[in-house]
Amino acid sequence: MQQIIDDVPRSVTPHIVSARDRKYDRQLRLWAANGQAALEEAHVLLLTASAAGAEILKNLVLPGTGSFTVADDKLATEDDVDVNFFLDESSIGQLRGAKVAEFLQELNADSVGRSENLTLSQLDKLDPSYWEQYSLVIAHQIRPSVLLPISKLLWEKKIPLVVSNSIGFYARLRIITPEHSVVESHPDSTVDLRLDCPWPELEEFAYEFKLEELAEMDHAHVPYLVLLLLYLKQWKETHNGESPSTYAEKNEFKALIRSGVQSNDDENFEEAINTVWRATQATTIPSDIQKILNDSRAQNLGVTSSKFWILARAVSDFTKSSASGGLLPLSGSVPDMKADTTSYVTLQSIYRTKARKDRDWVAGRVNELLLSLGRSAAAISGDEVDTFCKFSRNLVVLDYRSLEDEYMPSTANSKKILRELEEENSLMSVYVGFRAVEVFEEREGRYPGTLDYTEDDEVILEAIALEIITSIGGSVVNERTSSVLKEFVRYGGGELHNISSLLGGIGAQEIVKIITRQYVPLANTTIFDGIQSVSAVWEL
Amino acid sequence: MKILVIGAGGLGCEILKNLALSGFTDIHVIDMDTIDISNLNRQFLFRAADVGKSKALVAAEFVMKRVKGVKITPYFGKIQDKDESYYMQFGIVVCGLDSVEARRWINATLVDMVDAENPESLKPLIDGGTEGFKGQARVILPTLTSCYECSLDMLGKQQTFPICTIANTPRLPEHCIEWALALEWPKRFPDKKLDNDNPDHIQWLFDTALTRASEFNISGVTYSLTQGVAKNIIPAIASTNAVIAASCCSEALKIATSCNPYLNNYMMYSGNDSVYTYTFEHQKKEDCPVCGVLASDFYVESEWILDELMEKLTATQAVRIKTPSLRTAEKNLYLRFPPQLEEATRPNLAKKVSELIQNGEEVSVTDPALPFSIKLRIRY
Repeated sequence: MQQIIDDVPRSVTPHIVSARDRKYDRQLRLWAANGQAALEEAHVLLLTASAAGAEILKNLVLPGTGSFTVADDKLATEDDVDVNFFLDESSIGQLRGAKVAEFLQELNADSVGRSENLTLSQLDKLDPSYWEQYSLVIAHQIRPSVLLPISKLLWEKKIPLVVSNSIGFYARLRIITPEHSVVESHPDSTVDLRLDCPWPELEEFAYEFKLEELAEMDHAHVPYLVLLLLYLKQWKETHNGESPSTYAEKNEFKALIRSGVQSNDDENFEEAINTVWRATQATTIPSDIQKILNDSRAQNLGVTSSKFWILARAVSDFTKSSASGGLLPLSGSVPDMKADTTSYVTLQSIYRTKARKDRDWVAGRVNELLLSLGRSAAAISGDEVDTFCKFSRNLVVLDYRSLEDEYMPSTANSKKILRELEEENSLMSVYVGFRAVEVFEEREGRYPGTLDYTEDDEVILEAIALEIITSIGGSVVNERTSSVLKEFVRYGGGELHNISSLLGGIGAQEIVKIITRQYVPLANTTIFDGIQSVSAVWEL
Repeated sequence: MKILVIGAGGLGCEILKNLALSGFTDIHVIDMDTIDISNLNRQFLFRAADVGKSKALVAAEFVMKRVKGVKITPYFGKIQDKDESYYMQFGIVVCGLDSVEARRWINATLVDMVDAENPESLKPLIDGGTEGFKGQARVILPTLTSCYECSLDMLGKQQTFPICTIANTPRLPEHCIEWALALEWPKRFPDKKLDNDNPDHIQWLFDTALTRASEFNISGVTYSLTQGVAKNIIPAIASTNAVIAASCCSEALKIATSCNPYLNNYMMYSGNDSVYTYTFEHQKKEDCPVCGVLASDFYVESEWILDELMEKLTATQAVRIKTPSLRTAEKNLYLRFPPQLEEATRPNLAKKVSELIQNGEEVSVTDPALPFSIKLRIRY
């Protein structure tokens, strides 16, 4: 039943979109309801109400991060107001963190904000249980002597830590968390066709097509997957059951397909020819995925094992079972192709049915594993098994290095740092600059370049950089690094709003990826140089 | 220096904030849109109470209230309302737009304004764009560097479905939605324009697409997808806008103060997998219809009729034109306006290309949406 209003019939059972879904529509198209739910459960702590810190939080409050806390102990100055949009003239002389939290709160009523007056130079003296209320901590420009013990604590508690620095035209971001696994990595495609090893239902469907008997219109609508299967069968009959493997054979095989073209309309044959290379590749388990399945965290499950590793173990067992033919669970996706509706929908359902069967095997195994671990069968939902199987070719596990490993000369990534320093215009010089500025600040209690005479600071900073470089086996501060150090002195430790805002964007984007466990976050450091407008990523 | 910001949306809000905090004190902003609830997840100068108001007005007022000593002059309207004398007053133009048409228009206008005798007439154009976790920022020096039109072929392919697939062999949920949108709506409501923002209209599309999908056993038609296809929705988030807008404004500051060399001339950003940027010099195209000097070659079959040539033209990525009119130096081939000329040139559509155009002859293509004509050398 429909009633006519304004000429367009109005449905009596309209689809209701909540105000929240309308507000978040443009991001739900990226991370969907499950990503949004993870974001809404999160509580993020910001240490230092700097411009960069406020910008990171801004980009987390807007999409609806559940709660946020701003911790700071300084009173806002005119310099702060000049670069921080979440302070204004009236904030001068007031607690910086409180003011920033208040202005950020205005951005989204769904996000709950508060501030804390914490002495940033004594954070390491806090009771260790303090940190447990947070799901992620952002530390902006916290000195290493305070940051290192905190990072160790957070590492033990598995709370991700994001370290950021922004001075002048330079920015740095580092992620620290013992392990980050991603199922929904959002690859460009999850298509897995298995044309080299079709299962009986797929073969049966394909071999029923009799190309020579089809009318022109139907001939042009045979799905290319069927064409490839038919021609592969024909090829194998004259090649001892082998698929085309060499370059020459593949070209010959393409010619064979081309010989079947009947009219200009046969785009499906073109699609088949364009897919020959992929269709003749042997389906295997990618080596990085095999590494995850073989990982001891999957093979030696315990009571505290995460869902990811239980699922990985179940998939590992699947690949060893006779049900799998030694392959991963099928994703079930079929790409769009020229085809009539019935053939396409049937083909889709053949892939989906097989995917469902694989997934059911995995789900059964997950239940057994949970039972043997003394956990409830409900601990892992059917949807979670579906998603894991669908993306099993694109799983990602990032094992981060701790901040301690990066800072201790004996465990530092020395070779990489020294090698990179020799590259022309290398951003590694900026990394060394940040490290030297940190040491300078610890020793002098101020940033380089904050006094009237800067020449002395340049000398001290260069001496510190040499200490760092020597400690990891180098011997000189090269010209490029020296000029970067002079830039740092010129900036006097101050933030430029644009660079802090850019860092705020990158930082928030990485944090959203970590909290939603979707897309692949940075591992583990990025440096942005606003002078050249370039960035670099290293594992340090 | 007076600076102009075009667009007060996701990028525009960020750009206004950044410029104000970079020391620009005389900022103008143009936007023709009003605030929608779906803007609030990133357009941080707007609140729920502002829905329905002008973006340019609300944004300008907010930034002036927060940042001391900055003057922002908003204009609630279209960039096409303004002429060269208006654009001439600015030192730099920063664009945060989501429309290809508007970008082509401002780009062509700024290129056209360049007078070799008057260095002041060259206005640096800084352009930003985002989609999901990806985006790009670039600096265009009209006539000197590659312009927006030079890079048109870098745009992602427009998602289009052949009418015969939609009508006869639907396979995807999108095909069913396109069917409701492009075929059923005009048939059912010949006198009514579909309004993307009217929930009754979207609901009707959804119901119609759903019926079609169940007829063909196609799964996946949802309300959200229907809306996405009908409105051509591009995912947009706060963080990507922040990165791109900040990069644009950092370049604006460098140009205005000469404190550092500015971007030459293109930076891509992608956050889908780790953090990735690629900075390079996009090359100027000698046959760019806006800033180039040569006509570009366009290959057709001599057996084609003019209508087929027009079809290929509208489907060509580097041309991106929707309603072309064509003429050679000698004659009008097909003109859409005025009606008398349309009627007079219509018979040409059924004539063979070889009857109308010589091999290698130059054809000029115009479209009411573009302030310039594209010169193509037809080859067959």
